[in-house]
Amino acid sequence: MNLTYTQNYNLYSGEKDEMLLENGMVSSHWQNLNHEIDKLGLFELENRHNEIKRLIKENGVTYSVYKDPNGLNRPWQLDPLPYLIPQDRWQTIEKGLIQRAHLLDLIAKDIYGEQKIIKNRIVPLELIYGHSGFLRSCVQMNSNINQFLTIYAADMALGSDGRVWVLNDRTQAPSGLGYSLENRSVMSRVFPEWFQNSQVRKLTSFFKIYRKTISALCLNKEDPRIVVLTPGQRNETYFEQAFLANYLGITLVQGEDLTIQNDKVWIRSIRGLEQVDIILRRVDDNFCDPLELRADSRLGVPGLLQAVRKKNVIIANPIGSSILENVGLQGFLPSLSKYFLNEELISPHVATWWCGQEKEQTYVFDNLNNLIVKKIDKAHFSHSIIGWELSNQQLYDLKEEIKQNPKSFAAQEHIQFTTTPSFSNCQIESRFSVFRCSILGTGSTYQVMPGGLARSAAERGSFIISNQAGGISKDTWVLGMEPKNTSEQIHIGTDRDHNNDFGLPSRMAENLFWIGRYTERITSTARLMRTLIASINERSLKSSKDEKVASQFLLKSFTHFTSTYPGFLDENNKTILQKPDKELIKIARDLSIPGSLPYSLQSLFRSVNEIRSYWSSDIWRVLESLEQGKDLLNKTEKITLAQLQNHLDQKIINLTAFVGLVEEGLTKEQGWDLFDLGRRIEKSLGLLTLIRSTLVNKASESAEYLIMETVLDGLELQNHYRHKYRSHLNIDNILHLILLDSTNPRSLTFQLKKLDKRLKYLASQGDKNQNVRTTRLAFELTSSFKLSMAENLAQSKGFLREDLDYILSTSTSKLYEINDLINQNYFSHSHIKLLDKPIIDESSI
Amino acid sequence: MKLQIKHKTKYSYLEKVNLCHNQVILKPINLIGKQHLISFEISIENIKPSIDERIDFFGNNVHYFCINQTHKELIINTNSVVETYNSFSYFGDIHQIQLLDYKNKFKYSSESSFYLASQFIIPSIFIDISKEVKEFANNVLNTGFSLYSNCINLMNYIYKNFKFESGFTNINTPIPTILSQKKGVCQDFAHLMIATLRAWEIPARYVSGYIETLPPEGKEKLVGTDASHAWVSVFFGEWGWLEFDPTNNIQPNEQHVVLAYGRDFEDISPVKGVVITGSNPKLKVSVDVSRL
Repeated sequence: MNLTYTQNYNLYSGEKDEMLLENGMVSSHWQNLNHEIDKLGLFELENRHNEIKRLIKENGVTYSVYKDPNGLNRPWQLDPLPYLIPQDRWQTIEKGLIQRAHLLDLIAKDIYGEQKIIKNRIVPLELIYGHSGFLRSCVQMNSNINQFLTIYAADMALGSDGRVWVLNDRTQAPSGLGYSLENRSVMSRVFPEWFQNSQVRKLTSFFKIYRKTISALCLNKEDPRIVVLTPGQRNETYFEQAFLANYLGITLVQGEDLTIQNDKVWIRSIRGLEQVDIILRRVDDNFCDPLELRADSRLGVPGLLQAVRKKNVIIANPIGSSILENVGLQGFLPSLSKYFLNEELISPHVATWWCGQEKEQTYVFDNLNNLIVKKIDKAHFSHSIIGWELSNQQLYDLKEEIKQNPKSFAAQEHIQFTTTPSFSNCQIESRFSVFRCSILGTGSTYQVMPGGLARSAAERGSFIISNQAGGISKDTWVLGMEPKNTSEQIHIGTDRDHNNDFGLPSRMAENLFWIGRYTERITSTARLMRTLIASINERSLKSSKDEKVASQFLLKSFTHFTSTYPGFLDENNKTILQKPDKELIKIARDLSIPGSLPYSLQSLFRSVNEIRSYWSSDIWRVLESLEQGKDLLNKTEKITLAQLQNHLDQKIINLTAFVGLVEEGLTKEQGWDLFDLGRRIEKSLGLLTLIRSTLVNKASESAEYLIMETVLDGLELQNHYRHKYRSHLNIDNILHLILLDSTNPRSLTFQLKKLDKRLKYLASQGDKNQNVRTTRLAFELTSSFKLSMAENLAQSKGFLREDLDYILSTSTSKLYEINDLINQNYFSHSHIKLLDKPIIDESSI
Repeated sequence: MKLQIKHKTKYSYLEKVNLCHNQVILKPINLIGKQHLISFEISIENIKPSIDERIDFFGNNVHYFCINQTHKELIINTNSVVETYNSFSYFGDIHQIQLLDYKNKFKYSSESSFYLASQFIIPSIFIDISKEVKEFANNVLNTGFSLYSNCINLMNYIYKNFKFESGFTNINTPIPTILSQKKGVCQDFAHLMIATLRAWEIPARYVSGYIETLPPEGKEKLVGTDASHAWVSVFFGEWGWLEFDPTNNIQPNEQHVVLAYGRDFEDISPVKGVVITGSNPKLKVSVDVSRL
């Protein structure tokens, strides 16, 4: 076959390639796809690549890079060219992985049980006992466990000898499943014809078995409560954790959402405590329990080990699994395989020498410039040291470092790997790739996911492949017939065939509440700001005294409204009221000022990310465009008031769309009431402040007219007013419309009615006694306005409307009290503190 | 000798606390021929949580409890009665173990007691075998002498050259600081001695326990003036483990009561806990060791 693109295929010289054989032929498993690629052409491929990028951005697929200040939530990268595994090779891989999973299972059980491998001298004691993953408090803890590893992943690569090598084992909380699923879902959308014309194994049935397997971990409950324990949004793979939780219909929680009482695990929900039976863990071993493990951890749950010991909770994978990630242990796998299974390893493992033994250390020292050196228990974090990239001096230093503490080092040989086609910069070139396979322990047997997460190097010729180093992911295609006819439909959140009658977790409730508050705060601030800008623009140089007074009233009111003191109230800045542009722009773009737009936006996004698993892809799309605007605001270059106005319009539209989608998409169980409650409280507080700071102190009649006009404008109520009163503005009507009119959805009374309703719903959820005070306060609030007449409120003594001031100020404090009570009753906060350990300081006899 | 130990640990909080988790290692272990536990009680004042007891990885008695009711102070009381015995009777030819061949013997011995002891050579959280420690070990230890003489010398050296000073160090003070400042408390000295021995690949354990103190001559013993104590346990092959108290320059005998053995303080800290609170708790400890 003579293919166009392979002729220009940019081969990295000297390496074997998976697609293009040395004789110039295309390997058989690539022929089909090559044909498709040629049909498409490079230009179209680039278009599709852009489509991939767009989808990934819209779906909010991210991967955080730790050391990069801009690394949080970096967009995920996906190569349009998949990684292909032919059927026969896959069968060998599958066999090899099942054997390996079984072996690791036996090793883990032995290390945390009888320790025969140490007693029989298969493995040196120091290799286990000196590794930070060997947790003494977990010994004998999981003695009843059927399979130690529920989910296990191996990083593999195809060697130039045609064999598939295992590079790494991931045993404590392997990532990759969610990204694999997301990659597949994007690929099948962008390249539907490729899937139609190739035999690619489907992923969905694996996830069905996965979900079933997890539920089955708890033997004595039919419908166990399962949670995914995440370290939180700062974790590199937080996206995936939220994605998987959502896909599997499992609650995503952080350590602080859980508490241990009576040796059981409970989740804090707005209904009170609910027992948790199974924890899918994404928090590393050492961080799981600050009482017994790392005391400085804020990611775990104090007392968790005790609950495991009492067999009241099942954690997958069990705490202690990281001992299997010990690089040094890998050197002993061949003999361990003989010991436990009396078998040779099917998948070869990269030769590994643990420096804690004299003979091995000598070998490592003699061959250092051909080896890759790793620390045995920091394989995750520290870079591997590439022997052949070191100078003589560096080699010498490395030897000295190893000599200081040989037991914590291991060295591995360098295998010649093959390259595979990768699409980059509008051309197809060869890159080194590795792929991660996930294996599920189903209790009695093992299931290997027919696919995986392949990654290729960020640069040509480089064989350092990690996401942290900027690697690019690839969908992994296992070619061949499906065992049974299965359909590939990836729908998020549709797998909820389980009874989910659980209370809303408190932290989620709290975030929803704050999302409600911030959404409303940003919208109303933007509206008010837009109105002020319009009135400034209209102001002529020869403005009247009344116009000046009105403008000053309104600017000061804006500072009260946003709590951005001193702002326009700054006595030391006389000109600020004459030249308000600067201050307004500051509130529009200065992130460091609480109350400013970017500050509130940032808080909104923090909360939105905290409960990431909640949002549909439509909502993500809106949030994405909302966030894009954030950058525009944060830039330092000059911005005119007109530009700002356009920008504010855009914000308001986005936020309104967001509220609409939330309203439409969130169910009661998911906490719609909390979201709405937050909005109503914020809106009420805003109205109270705005009216208090504009209409309590009486200005001259014509100034007050201007003020009322702007207030109506800022609240988007001009049309309402005109429609209802068909008259000139007067204070009685204004107060009625804004405060008392229950038919006006923007009035205070309307907000308070909704507030009352939401509070009643909440009260029906939790402990009744707790809520007596909140419902009472809400009743007082609504009735005080019901009993008020606009004419009375408008009356003044001198320049002060006393009755109006009274009702507004008492209502404000009541609302704050409600806010605090909601906090106390539903969002219990836990601040973990360690007790000082007594110092041991006996002096003498 | 029959000793009674009353140990009171009191945490006071500024605000009410609703939840705390605690782990304590305050129940003396039984040691054949050395100490026998006659009775032990543990209680929390004014609160009756269920207290769980288990044996940890090192064979120590560990108690766990959780208090999930509102409280403003946490008072843990223990009362132990222990019979201690003079265990110096088998000392005969302890000098047979030379420092140099001990190391080798250790490496190639297939006896299980040997390789299990070897876990106490590996560095642990509080005992890092730093350059400073290695240097110190090379200066103080001497291959010309037996292991036993080396231990005595090392203990003696620490006692003479390091000043006991409360308040200068805390539990996180690293060993190099102790070495350069030449002061600390018993837990620091124990850590230093263990580190020195481990630097030469001699298995050494951390011992937490009590010591009977006697009042100055002619004075009454004051109540509550004792404290927890810490010293060192060294592996002597067939002879088992021998103990050394570098703070007092003596080999523990009937006046010492062992609570627990571990790699270092971290493994067996007598009391630790996690509370859910906003403020910093205050801690007060009192210990009384008296002869019955």
